[in-house]
Amino acid sequence: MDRRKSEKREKPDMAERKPNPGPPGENTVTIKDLTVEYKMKKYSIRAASRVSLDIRRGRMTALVGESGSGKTTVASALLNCISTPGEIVSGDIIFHEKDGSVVEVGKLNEKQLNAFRWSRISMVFQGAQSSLNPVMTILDHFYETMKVHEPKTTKSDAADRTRRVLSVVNLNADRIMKMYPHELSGGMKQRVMIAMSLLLDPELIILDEPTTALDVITQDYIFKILKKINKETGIAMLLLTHDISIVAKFTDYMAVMYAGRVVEYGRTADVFRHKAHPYTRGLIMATPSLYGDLESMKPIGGAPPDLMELPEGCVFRPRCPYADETCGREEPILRTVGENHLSRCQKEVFHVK
Amino acid sequence: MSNNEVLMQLKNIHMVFEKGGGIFSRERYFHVLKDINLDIYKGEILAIVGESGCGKTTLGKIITGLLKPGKGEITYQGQNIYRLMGMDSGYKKAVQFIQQDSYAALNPVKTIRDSMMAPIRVHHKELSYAQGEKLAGELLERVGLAPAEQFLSKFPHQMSGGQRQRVLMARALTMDPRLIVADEPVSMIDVSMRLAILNLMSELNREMGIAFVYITHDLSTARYIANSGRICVMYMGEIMELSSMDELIRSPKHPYSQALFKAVPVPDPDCADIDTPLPLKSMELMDLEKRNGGCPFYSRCIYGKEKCLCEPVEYRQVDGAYVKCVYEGVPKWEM
Ligand SMILES: Nc1ncnc2c1ncn2[C@@H]1O[C@H](COP(=O)(O)OP(=O)(O)OP(=O)(O)O)[C@@H](O)[C@H]1O
Ligand SMILES: Nc1ncnc2c1ncn2[C@@H]1O[C@H](COP(=O)(O)OP(=O)(O)O)[C@@H](O)[C@H]1O
Ligand code: SF4
Ligand code: SF4
Ligand SMILES: [Mg+2]
Ligand SMILES: [Mg+2]
Repeated sequence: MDRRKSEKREKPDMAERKPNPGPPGENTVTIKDLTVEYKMKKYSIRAASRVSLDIRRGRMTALVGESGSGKTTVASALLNCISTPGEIVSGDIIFHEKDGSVVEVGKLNEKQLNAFRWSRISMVFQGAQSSLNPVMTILDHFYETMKVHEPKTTKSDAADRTRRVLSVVNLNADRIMKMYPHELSGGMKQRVMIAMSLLLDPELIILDEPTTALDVITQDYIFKILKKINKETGIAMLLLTHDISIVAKFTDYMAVMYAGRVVEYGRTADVFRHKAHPYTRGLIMATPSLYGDLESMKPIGGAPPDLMELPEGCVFRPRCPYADETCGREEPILRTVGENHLSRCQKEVFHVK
Repeated sequence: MSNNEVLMQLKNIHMVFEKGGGIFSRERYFHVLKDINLDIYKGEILAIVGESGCGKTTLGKIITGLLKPGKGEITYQGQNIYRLMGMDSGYKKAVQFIQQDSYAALNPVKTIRDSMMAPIRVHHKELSYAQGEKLAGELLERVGLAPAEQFLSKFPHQMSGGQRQRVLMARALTMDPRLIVADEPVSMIDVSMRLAILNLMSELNREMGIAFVYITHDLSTARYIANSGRICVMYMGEIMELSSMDELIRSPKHPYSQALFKAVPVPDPDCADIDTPLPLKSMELMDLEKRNGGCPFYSRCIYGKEKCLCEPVEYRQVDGAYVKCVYEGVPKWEM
């Protein structure tokens, strides 16, 4: 941890880092068999169940699923900050430094974790823009954040860094720094949050539904900025969303979540082409588009899963049009179905040839 | 479904809200709707699309008589609705509003039976309680909540968002409406269930001849439900383009519609174009004070000319669409 801290101080800023995005395609984080439970008095809920996932450097990876599927839970596990009464029951989260050394997030103590958050992995929380303090200027927000991690930071130091990260998200820094949150539009506030996540030069940024409250034009604008940062700096991004159209447009890899499971993982283009898992198929067919045939669209039957009463065998079985009696025997595992492509369906017919 | 017979007419609607913003607010008044002219046809599906805050909900509430505009005239079957509302004319029953948040719309301590029976007791006085209950059951099954007995004694929190949205539909049906204004009815529902609610609305439209105004920020669901209907694109309180859905999908004509089309993500990675910036001059929103009666899209528009700012913008008809843009040189749409 100490090594990392001293290294961080020498770390060049965003602009200087541009030419060295690091080797693309390598993992920044590997999640192996992660299980998270919320343990209540009378019962417990398994919100993530044996989740395995690679998050690659310089790529945008999506975690896509409906409300309650476990996206936020998995992302919080990456920072070891699951809300109470949740806890990691089993599994490994491995963070890969660029020099090849690794950090096991689950083994960090509280002090190490605090240093780790923001500087290695930062997160833009769901609805984060509303957490801005109305009586603090934007600069003060950045200054506070920096002080937590680097207590000796001066305000002019903070202003320099703030200026840099605000310009990365195309905000007029000198104007914005002096403003109060209520003077900014929703889109500007969200860009401020993204800038803040860049402040300590992390290797991975987690974005939880970053544009859900924004209109599509602002959404498009913000994602184009994110993609640019993603490509040029090599910072990995993990996007949590329920919107499969955004996943199609902006991400490189995707993991589809259902009832706390990753049911399909692969390159975004491959997943859309092969739709190896019936839930992925269903989701794509249930998503209206501006183009293409409307006749073939249809909703997924049945009701969303109840984590308290999951069926035996495959969790998607009650809604799956391809289910048969063999699907009820045991829960399918995440199997390789193509190059870099995994699916949690036992039927061979859906596997990529 | 629509036979082009006008059901409701909105003429020169203006709506101004006073800003309650306190010490931080700059302007005190604020034009939420400006010069809205819109006919709603019998049995049609009309989608109203626009970004958050553009005035969609306000317009929906005005259509259903829940809000009174500052200026303008609204008629239902040719008669002014404010004159009608005092009388037992049927307008109030015939035009129903369904709000976005189905949880807030239903009384949490009342069962679905109670929520259904309240309007039935008021509007179907001729029915005995048992007959009323039978009607409630039939309507619940009509909207896909079958068998009704399973749902009548439930409380709102015991149902999913999609099921509650169906209850709202069934409750509206107790009035035998001619028009239902549905405000973002699927935005709070799980993706996998959205189409089913949209399909239900299409079905009620087809089979019962009920006209729908579908309010949304999502152009893709608008296309899905109003595929053979019309669409109205709003921006900052004004209607920018009004046309058949077909024509709009084929070729959006207003510079705002064109930018919107480029921005909407499509669920197909092969269509992704993330390198071309949107056809916009800037992301800045118009400062409403500087607007001078001109075009509210000026600050973002790549085709804007000086005259756009000082002249009131009139509608032009282009290929059957109404387009609120003075500039005739906007290029034809190409994919
Ligand atoms: N603090 C908590 N206590 C108890 N259960 C929780 C807690 N946080 C989440 N859960 C449960 O865990 C499951 C997954 O929640 P999570 O917030 O990760 O889902 P999500 O995919 O992010 O959904 P959304 O899109 O609604 O935010 C849900 O069933 C949720 O009710
Ligand atoms: N009662 C009200 N008082 C003041 N402002 C309002 C009121 N209702 C709506 N507004 C404002 O009017 C604008 C349009 O609102 P609304 O019609 O709800 O938009 P939409 O549904 O398209 O999001 C918004 O800026 C909103 O804040
Ligand atoms: S294992 Fe069976 S039920 Fe599960 S997704 Fe595959 S076909 Fe459907
Ligand atoms: S009127 Fe002018 S500013 Fe407005 S959309 Fe047309 S060209 Fe653009
Ligand atoms: Mg979440
Ligand atoms: Mg609204």
